[in-house]
Amino acid sequence: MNRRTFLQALMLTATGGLTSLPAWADDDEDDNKTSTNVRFSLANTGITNKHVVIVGGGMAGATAAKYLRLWGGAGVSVTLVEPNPIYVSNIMSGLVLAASRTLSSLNYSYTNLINNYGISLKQASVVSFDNTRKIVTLSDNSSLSYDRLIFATGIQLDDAYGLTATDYAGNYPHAWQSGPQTSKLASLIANMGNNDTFVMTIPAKPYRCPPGPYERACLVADYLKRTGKTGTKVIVLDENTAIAGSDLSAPYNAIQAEPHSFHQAFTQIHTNITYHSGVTGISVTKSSANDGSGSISCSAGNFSAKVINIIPPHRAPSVMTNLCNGGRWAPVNVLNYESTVANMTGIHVIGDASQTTQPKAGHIANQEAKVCADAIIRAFQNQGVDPAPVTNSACYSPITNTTASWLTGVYQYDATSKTMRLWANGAFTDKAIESADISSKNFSKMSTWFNTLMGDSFS
Amino acid sequence: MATTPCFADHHELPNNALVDSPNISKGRLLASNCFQCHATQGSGGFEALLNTSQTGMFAELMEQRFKIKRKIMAIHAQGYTKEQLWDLSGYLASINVTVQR
Ligand SMILES: Cc1cc2nc3c(=O)[nH]c(=O)nc-3n(C[C@H](O)[C@H](O)[C@H](O)COP(=O)(O)OP(=O)(O)OC[C@H]3O[C@@H](n4cnc5c(N)ncnc54)[C@H](O)[C@@H]3O)c2cc1C
Repeated sequence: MNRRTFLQALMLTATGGLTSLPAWADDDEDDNKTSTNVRFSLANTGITNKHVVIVGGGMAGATAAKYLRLWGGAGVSVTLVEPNPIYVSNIMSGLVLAASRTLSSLNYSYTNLINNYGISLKQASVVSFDNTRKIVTLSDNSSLSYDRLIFATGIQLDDAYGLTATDYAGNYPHAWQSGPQTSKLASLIANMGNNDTFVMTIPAKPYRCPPGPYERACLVADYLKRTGKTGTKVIVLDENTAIAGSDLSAPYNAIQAEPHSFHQAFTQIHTNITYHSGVTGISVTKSSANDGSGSISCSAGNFSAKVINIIPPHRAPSVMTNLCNGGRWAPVNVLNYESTVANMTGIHVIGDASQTTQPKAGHIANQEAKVCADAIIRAFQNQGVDPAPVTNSACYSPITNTTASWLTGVYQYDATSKTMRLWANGAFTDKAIESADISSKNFSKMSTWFNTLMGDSFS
Repeated sequence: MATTPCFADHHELPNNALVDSPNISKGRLLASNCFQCHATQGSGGFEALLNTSQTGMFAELMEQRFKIKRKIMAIHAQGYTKEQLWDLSGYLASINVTVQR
């Protein structure tokens, strides 16, 4: 008797009849077999006349809009306020820098949310809000009233190290928000010649996408090697410092995510990468040509670069200043993502702009949105919040244009600290789990993961 | 090791499937953690999770917990209590799938 038939036998005894087992026992070969034209019907909840305004149609906002309708039903009207007609995914944008994916393959429209779930899209930005009158004001001077307001605005990048927003929009792109800057950075990299140097910086935590900067270093290094640009170098200047209890030695003990995969990548796969951690005093001097080149001085030394790519420190956008209590991010109650700032009842913050113990990542932004939507619907039905929410993070990181690693973890609510904490096999833990290897199989699973995540958020 | 398919020989929904959203809050939020990888309401992605019973789904998740290889699904199954796995299986089992004409 193998384990499965044994289990079935057990279940026969337990339930008095054979139950159907889902088919993913041998899940080694599971792959994407999505059927065509699957549609979803909205729940029948009896909720009437409720209006939720969502600010920002990215990973968090799109998901919240969809699930408020799907689970809350037609009596929950949702207005999504977003200035851009198309969302450009950050996830997988590293592959655009490596010339193995086009930027347009990362475009997501709001059509499905509008047509399939009845979401109203307002193409504008929110410029202010008044929680006493429960009104938001938009860039076109119109206003919207709300029963609940959700901020899902993502991040705003600081002027830093001597560079400003004008430089970022010009020849010194950070490309930490996908769009024209991503294409710009890709073309600067493509124009590098033999013996040229690419220098990038990583801000102190917390920043958007913990593995993201290390992934970027790998993909740029891979591209330079693959295209035969001899003598080229990638220099990584990381402001982060050694993580307590790391089993790696300096400088690699500061790597913020998937330390073993990136340690292997930096020391064995991409030997054209030089990694420095604990870097302070970063200062950029642009070249007189203002063409993306220049020099960077910092505690690790002076580096001249053909391409300078800083990832500036970031924060919740300034429209949310009153939700941030003087800090960079908006503190929230992770049972419903409602703001914990005085007089902000009924305002929720999800995704990268919120301050939680979870990573600032798209997969988790999607789940935070579901926690928030579930809590709002329960409130509309006069039910309490789910007292023990769970969230999960999963992330694949391309290491070359054909291989990837991954990182995953499940977060449970810790009632003592009132925070979400990694949890496994009955106990809280400190570490998310990274893949055992860097492989092409991971790379192919990555596309199923990515397509499904984007589908769950935007269609 | 043989697998037991939950319907026909595919782990996918029929074309033109209409998937509903039951008005049940128990297990809903827990189950939604599956949807980033198994699609909205468990309708696809790596594998559809619908048209199964609560006991069947629960047994599968319990089995996933004992996978020795470092796999994302096993790590996820280990991230929930038994009660949570039971509740999320109940929500998934309550989702109805019909075929639209
Ligand atoms: C290079 C890179 C790689 C990444 N890779 C991964 C990965 O592999 N896995 C992963 O999980 N995450 C990854 N991430 C992180 C992920 O992209 C973010 O965590 C995620 O997008 C956060 O979602 P969000 O909704 O908070 O913000 P966003 O997705 O940035 O959405 C915010 C939206 O709000 C809008 N907005 C802002 N201000 C206003 C306003 N005032 N009014 C109206 N709308 C407004 C913006 O236009 C935008 O559309 C990566 C990020 C980068 C940069």
